[in-house]
Amino acid sequence: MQADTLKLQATTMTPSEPRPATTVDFDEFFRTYRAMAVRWATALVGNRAVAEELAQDAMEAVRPKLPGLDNPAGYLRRTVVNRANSWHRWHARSQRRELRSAAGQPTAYTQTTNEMLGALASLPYQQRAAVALRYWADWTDEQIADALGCAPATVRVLLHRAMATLKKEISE
Amino acid sequence: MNDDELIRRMQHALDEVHAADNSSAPAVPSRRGLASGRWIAIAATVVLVAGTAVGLVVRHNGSPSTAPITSDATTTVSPSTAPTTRPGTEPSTSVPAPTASWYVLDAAGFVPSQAITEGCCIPVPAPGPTTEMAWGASSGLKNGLLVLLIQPTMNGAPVLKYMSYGLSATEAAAIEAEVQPGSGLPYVLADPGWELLGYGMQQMGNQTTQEYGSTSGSVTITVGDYRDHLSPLALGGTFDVVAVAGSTGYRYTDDLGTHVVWRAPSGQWASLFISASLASRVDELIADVHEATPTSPTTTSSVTATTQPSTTTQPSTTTVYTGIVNGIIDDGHGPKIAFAFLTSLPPQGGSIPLAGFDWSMIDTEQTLNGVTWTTGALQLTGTWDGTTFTLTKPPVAPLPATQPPTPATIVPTPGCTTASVQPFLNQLTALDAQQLGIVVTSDRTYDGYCDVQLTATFDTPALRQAIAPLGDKVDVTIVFSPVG
Repeated sequence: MQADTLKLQATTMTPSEPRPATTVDFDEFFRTYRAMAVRWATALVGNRAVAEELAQDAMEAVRPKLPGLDNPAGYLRRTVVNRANSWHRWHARSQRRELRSAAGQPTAYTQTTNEMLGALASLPYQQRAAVALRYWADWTDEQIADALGCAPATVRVLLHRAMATLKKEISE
Repeated sequence: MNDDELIRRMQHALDEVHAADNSSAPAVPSRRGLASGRWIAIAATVVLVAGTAVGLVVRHNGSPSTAPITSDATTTVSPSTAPTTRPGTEPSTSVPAPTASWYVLDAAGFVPSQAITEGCCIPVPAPGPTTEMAWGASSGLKNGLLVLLIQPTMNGAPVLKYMSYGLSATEAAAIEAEVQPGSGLPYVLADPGWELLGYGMQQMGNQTTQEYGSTSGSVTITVGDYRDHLSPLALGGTFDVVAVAGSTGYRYTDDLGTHVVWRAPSGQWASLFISASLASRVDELIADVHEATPTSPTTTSSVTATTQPSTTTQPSTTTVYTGIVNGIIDDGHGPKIAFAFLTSLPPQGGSIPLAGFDWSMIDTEQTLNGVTWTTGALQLTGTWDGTTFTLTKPPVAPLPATQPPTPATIVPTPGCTTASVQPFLNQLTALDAQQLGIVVTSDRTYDGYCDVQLTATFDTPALRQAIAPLGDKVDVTIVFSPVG
């Protein structure tokens, strides 16, 4: 039943991603994808300001390669995911300590949002990436698999595990 | 809660985060603007390699990451005379200068992913990162560990926080009282029974990271500058002393898994992270970590740090270099090139001392609290003696035509994978980054394209010689290039 639900989501949330012109112009690419890159990064790091930095950095990484890329959006997706992974790894330890010290203190978000952000943060990076990119950023399983460097079947496993963990975290 | 409800709540949460400060969608940047931005990112790592103050372009967003670090074992003081020395402004003489160390995991079923070597480039909200100093009792960390966190503030003296392990409250207070402001280091603990173990900025510093994946979990190894390796040991939990790759390591466990930290023979600090799903294999995996020397069999070339003639690593003082930086800053100790700034007011940053410069050469400087600075892309031309950059002509605003050329498009390579470029990355990481001015090395694979990337401060013959064996396998980005 759960797998069916996940499959339904995958079908109904297929993105309508614009495709750049054959002659790739960076300005056009930037205009088309910049906001998406920020959204993707937000899903991955849970912080808008950091997401903007990561998205900008990823855009700049894509720029010199743009003329030779068959799938610039795919390259950008993978770049954002990789850079967010680096950020996540470097910040994991300090974040845990800060969250610990900030427990019970008011934050900028609602309690339910904080609860969900905490649950997402508790997931291994690949699971977090899979679930946030799938259900919030509207990536397909294939796009997530490409960005994470795994098979689409693995993405479905990651989604299943992530959803199970999130349910447990949220219900506790 | 069913899947739909969970997904709806997640979407709502991320919508709320995404909506925060959602008014900053910029116009498409010009080539010049983007190039400057890239230099900002590059430069933040350049600063560390240069061994001086670190600068970062950051956003102040009021995120939880500015929350103070506290623990039951933490005490807070705010001395009015706290020094403002930042890591790197004066090198530590007590912590040995590192010669690159590296460790590998030799365990069946684990596949190494790309190794990433970077200095910093992590957005940190103003007023900047916390500096951490750690001292250990000579008889062992179980008998005494003292960690000092130096937290910068927006306006005023930094806040000092102590954490300790293995000490009673009375003992901790006594040893804290012995910590005094230093001249080379921010603080010194002049007690013969204690040793300075680490000094660096949390989340900052040169570090190489490699993750090993398996079907049941992951293992991550890092080696680099001291960051905040020892403070987790003083957070109130417990740790074990273990042997790891011939060194004494300290193992602790949290909700994510098991961590082991240790000081490598080179003086660098290393860490091992084993995900919680591998808890039953922790001892086995720790035993599978081995030190790899610069001449590790994983490299396929003779290019190693030990084969670099030291005489070729020094730049020629007659070579004129030109490059684009993000500004100049003088905090009272002379002007310095700033590749990036911390966005405090006045800003912080600056790395390479700049000679032949006078503020009359530009008209965009600002001064506050004894600090004079100018931000924005500047093209600097001059000579470099390995320490100081001496202008041979006044700084100018770079024209679009003078922007560094974009790297050549990489030709698709059949069968190219992360594993296939690993030998080339190994060659790069084996080089003496400090001497050659190498800032970042990483690998990149995508859709049949693959290469290894390298960013460096100066385009010197020594650097070129060192990377020559890699040919077109390395995508080189250099801030300062020879003129002509």
